[in-house]
Amino acid sequence: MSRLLQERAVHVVGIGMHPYQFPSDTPYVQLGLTAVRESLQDAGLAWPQVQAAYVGTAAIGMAAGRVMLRHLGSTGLEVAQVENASASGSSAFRLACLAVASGQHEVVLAVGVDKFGHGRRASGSDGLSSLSPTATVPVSKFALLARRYLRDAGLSVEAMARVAVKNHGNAALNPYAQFRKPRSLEQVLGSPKVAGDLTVQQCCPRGEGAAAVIVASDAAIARLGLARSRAVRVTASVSISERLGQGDTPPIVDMVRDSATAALAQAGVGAKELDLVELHDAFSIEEIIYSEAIGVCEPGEGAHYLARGDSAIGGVCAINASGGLIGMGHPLGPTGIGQVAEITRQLRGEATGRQHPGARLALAHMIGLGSVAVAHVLQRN
Amino acid sequence: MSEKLLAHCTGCGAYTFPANAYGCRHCGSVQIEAVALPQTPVLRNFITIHGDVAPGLTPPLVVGEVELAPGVVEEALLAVTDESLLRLGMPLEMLITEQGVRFRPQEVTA
Repeated sequence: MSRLLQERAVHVVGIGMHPYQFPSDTPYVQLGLTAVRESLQDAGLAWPQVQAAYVGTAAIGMAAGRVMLRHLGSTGLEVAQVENASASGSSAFRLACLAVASGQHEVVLAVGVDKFGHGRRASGSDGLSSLSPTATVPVSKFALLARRYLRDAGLSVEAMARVAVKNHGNAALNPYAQFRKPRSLEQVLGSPKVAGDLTVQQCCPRGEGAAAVIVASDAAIARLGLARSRAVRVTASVSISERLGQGDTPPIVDMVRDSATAALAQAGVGAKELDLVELHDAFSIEEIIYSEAIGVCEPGEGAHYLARGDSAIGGVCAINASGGLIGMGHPLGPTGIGQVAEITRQLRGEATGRQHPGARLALAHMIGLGSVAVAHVLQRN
Repeated sequence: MSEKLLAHCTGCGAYTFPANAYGCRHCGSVQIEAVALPQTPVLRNFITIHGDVAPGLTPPLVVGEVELAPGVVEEALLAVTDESLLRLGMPLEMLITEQGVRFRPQEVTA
């Protein structure tokens, strides 16, 4: 197990967002620069102090980074683009953390930016046949998973739909969210069906936006006079991919459990100690299943945990206080970095209107098509 | 697509879908050969697709998770008009049509 982040402290010192929104004519450069400039201002940093930038994007195209960042001034910093499907931003953040922890750099930017509709998937180019055009379509896969989970647990469709009610409610309190309206259980269940028991309001929207996070070493915080009281420490970073199924558990659930377990072990904390979790709720059922796999609640308890209000803001562990992918949105590249920005805001006690009281310890957990998983643990200093 | 839907590994004995996979998904061996299904396909799960989720599909349609071999379960198109005739664990038969492979409940014989 890597001890790098225990031996070499890495802190989030700045966060910035461009609100997630429905596809528009706004150029990606404008989306990304809005988030980056806000993160610099939040950190109290000037652009020349940033030594490297990892740009998470899945759908913009080759070499998006310097085309955008050159408008901030000419510094010659390291720029690299990171593509890992829905986890592109999470992987960019991981590389930023490891660049600081390794001593390569002291101040590094991770920025996620995306526009909808320009992406292309490699799975259509592998030269192999499938038995259904839906075989690589996430909504179909998760509708099948939902049908199986609800059947095995003896739960109703309403149990799953409550995830969307909670997360649309949280998003209504988040000025960076794509959806800003609370939804009732009746509205969620009554919206058009997409696949199986998943209705439109239980699925993440298509959209665009940007998120930026700046990480720095202890030495940089001291040397540059940054506000240590607002810095949030990253105590674990883990990235794995899916393995073949072992027994009856779907492989993606094994992957979530293994990645969360490894991240919590690296940070030296238990799942029950978590105050906040941001996770991949692209489809409502995922939040219930992953809350169990991560260990926030016991196996089979996910729906009850939600129904009791334990995963609400002000509950035991606020899950997707941002609104999650369903409510805040899922523009791909920004999503994982937006999770870290939300967690940082919550751990600082600055999430006005949706603050989870006493937030101290958090997990950011993301999944990307393929599948891959990326997990980070963040703690208030 | 022929009736030989799977690849069988001559090393570890595992099955991989599809038959023209580039290696055994368990052990990575390239010593694999195209084979017919070693068992009757079995229906493990199913849903109806209502929305326009993939090109070339006209919803509503029914898709299922079909067990093709021990440990090999693939999402497949089911040649039924709705879910009413489907039961978990039921044996299926494979149809090779001009549009591709479809599965449907086995004909009940008296």
